Amino acid sequence: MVKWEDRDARFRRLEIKTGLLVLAALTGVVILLVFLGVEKGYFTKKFSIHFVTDSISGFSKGMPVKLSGFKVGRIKGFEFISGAKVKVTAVINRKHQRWLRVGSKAQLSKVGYIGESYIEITVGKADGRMLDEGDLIPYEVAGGVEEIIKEALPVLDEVKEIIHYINDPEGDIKATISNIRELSSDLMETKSQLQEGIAGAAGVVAKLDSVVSKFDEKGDLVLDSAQKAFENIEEMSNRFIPVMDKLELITGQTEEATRRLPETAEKIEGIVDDVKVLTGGLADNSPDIDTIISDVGEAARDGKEIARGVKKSWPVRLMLPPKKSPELVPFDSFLLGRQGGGND
Amino acid sequence: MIKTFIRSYFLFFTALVILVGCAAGTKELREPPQLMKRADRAAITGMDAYASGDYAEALASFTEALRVDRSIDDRAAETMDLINIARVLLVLGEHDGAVKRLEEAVTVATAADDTAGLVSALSTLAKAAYIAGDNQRALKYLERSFLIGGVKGAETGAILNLQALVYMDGNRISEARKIFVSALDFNKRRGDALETANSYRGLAKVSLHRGDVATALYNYMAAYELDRALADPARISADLNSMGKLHVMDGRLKEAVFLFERSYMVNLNSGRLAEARADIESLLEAYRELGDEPKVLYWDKMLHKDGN
Repeated sequence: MVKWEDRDARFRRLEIKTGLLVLAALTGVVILLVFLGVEKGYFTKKFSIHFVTDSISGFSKGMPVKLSGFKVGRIKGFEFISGAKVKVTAVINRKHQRWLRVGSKAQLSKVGYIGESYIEITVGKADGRMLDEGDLIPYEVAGGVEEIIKEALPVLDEVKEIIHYINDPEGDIKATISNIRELSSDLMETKSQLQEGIAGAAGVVAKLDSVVSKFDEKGDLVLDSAQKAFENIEEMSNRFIPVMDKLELITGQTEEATRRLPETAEKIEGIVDDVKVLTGGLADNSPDIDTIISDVGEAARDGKEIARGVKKSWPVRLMLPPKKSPELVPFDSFLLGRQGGGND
Repeated sequence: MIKTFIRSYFLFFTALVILVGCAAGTKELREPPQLMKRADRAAITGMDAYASGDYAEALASFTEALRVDRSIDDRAAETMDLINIARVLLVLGEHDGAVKRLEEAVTVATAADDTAGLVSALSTLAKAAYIAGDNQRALKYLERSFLIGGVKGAETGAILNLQALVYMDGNRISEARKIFVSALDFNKRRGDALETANSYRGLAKVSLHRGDVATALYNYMAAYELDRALADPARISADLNSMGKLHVMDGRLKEAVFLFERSYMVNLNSGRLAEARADIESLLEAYRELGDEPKVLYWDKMLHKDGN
């Protein structure tokens, strides 16, 4: 019998060729796995350190541990200890061990103020012992945007209170302003009445003059004129009385309001100082906040574009419901209003 | 052997790339222009408002869509907007406004060579003419629309129903019946429940003309089942009332009063007070024939109550 390998050279030593191919494939897979392992750091030497915190809110397994912004390890796990506290275990790459000494502290930080969380470890004392497997380091709470917000909230509450106090229609400020308004309008009225009075008085004086000069000629007439003049003066003095009463009342109210003004001014001053502190704090951080806000905006725009691209790509676009397109409303041969309604 | 391996791998990889590329390489999905999207959104808002019975909102939305479509000279969309506005105006009883819009739609559709739009505009003009009582004019528009579009468009079933109604009003009962049957078949095949119910109602009327109460009742029942699924009070109450009247004709007064009462409930609770009043009058007649005095007194009181 003629074998295939005798006829065709390609079939000679076929088993060896197949075996070599499989070996090459396996070698490739192993190399790939080793490469991945090296990338993931499975073959690097590490050591564990611990720190204790009251709460692991904000922490997560696998969270990066950084030293001066450089990733040196990751969070491995958490464990409850006495006092309901939590012991956090971090694994650190051995090659960075020389920077971690007694005196190093752990802090929970964020990239920017609202970015990804990580554990920041400070460099310890230069003459301190190097940290080793199982060492415990202190944990410090660091401030962030939450702190600023926490401080700002009572200030905002006070500002609200003051604004409410100022805007209260039954309150002192509004009452004072309205009294001052009333006072000024009454003063204007008084001024015009005084002017009228003066003009009237001038008229009376003029009349008296003519009375004196004409006294010799027309005795009775002069006396009559004098009588009239006195009556005018009486009338004007009667008109002055309610004005004076009002003036007195307004003066009293103004005095009361004026008495309370320093207290109000003091409160406003206190609030303005607090607001200054708050705005100062915000201003110090505003370059970062500006950057963060513009980064967030850009990220949102990028996210939108990515979502749009994903929606158009296959197979995602097949999973989306078909878009509605404009159509005619139904023709509907059921004719309401035709001879009493419906098809009847 | 290595060459074979490399060749096979290369072929496999190329095939994979081509496959992924074909799948990912979609037909050009360009975003439509902003104004076009705005017009579409307004039109879709109008459609939704019409479906939910908010005709004022529908009118406002279609008017906005028309304004935008006119600004970009989109004639097909403009025709659609004009027809939609006209159909809303017909529901609101504004006949003259509707006709004016439809005439504009005919002009635009003719200029744009938009056959489908022209057929819809002409058939809606036919409907407007029929509502106004001008059957001759209605027939003219219908014939013209069939001449242009044939019997194949989406609205053909509705147009056939209208044609049959016009024939029935003109006392051409056999022709009306044939057209209702064609319309019923067309509408069933298209799955158009609304027009199928209208066809059944039309056939019921035809049967009634011939004195065949049983068939008329059957057809009204079929229409009623479809209208209940559509949850349209106007249609449901019309069917109940018609079935009640058929029962009265056949002497089944107890069944009739039940149906009149159901019709009254539907009309009263959907705010259709004039129709509710008509139901009370039907009830009074039926109860008088039954000799049920307490019920007669009760419904008489209801008839004269404030709000009825």
